[in-house]
Amino acid sequence: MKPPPLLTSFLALSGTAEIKLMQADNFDLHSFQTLTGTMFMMITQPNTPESAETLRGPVYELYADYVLKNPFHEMDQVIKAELFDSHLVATLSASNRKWGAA
Amino acid sequence: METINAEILTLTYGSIVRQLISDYEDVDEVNKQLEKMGYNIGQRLIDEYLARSKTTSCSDFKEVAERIAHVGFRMFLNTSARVAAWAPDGRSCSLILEDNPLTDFVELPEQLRGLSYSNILCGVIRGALEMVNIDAECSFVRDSLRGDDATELRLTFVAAAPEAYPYKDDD
Repeated sequence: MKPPPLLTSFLALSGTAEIKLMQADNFDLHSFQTLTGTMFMMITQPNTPESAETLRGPVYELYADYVLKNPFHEMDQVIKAELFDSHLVATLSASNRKWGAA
Repeated sequence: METINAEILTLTYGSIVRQLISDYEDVDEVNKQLEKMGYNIGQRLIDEYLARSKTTSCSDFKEVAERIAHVGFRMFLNTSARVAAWAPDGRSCSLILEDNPLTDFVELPEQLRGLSYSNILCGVIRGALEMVNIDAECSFVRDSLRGDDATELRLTFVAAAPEAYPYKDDD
């Protein structure tokens, strides 16, 4: 997913700086940009442990598997892979159970 | 990670090449199609490589070549390549393949001498590098299938292509 125009201008202004985490009262927004330019964003409850590692690790791997390895996925199009969705939900539910959320 | 018999890869790839030859009939066109297929694979494979190897970016082209040869080939083909013959300006080098799982059991007939049988590999490398903003060229200079004593890929750095955003901000 290429970053939206507003974020692009912000990135241009800030040189090589990159927003990795934004913390608000009710949520944290984690962002991770791969070397290929794909950006992942994840919204979590405030101070959820290991969020950045989850994004960089299991989530990225699930993307590389179920999205990229699907020959019918067109690059740079909206992701419509059910397998990706179901595995993502399973991984994040496991993470939620581990850290005590519902 | 589950594994399957590598011969399935060799056989599948062999049948792809045979089919392309029968469809296009012209060896140069087949080479081009193989490279194109590889290019599409490379664009997708790079994220798999980055996710699994969990690396940071390379500092120069030398490192890029080393990583392709040692990590990349090992990860996907379970073989490794040797980096050699650096050009004095550091912009091109050779990757020498000791063994190539795509060509197990393969013998190239006389009339297909111009065929770059494993050309898909050149495309994979070019596609993968393009996704990390490196324009590169890759081609076979020696091929043991064609009677040479080793299989050698020449990898050349063309340009660093900065990220091109598809949106125009001032519209």
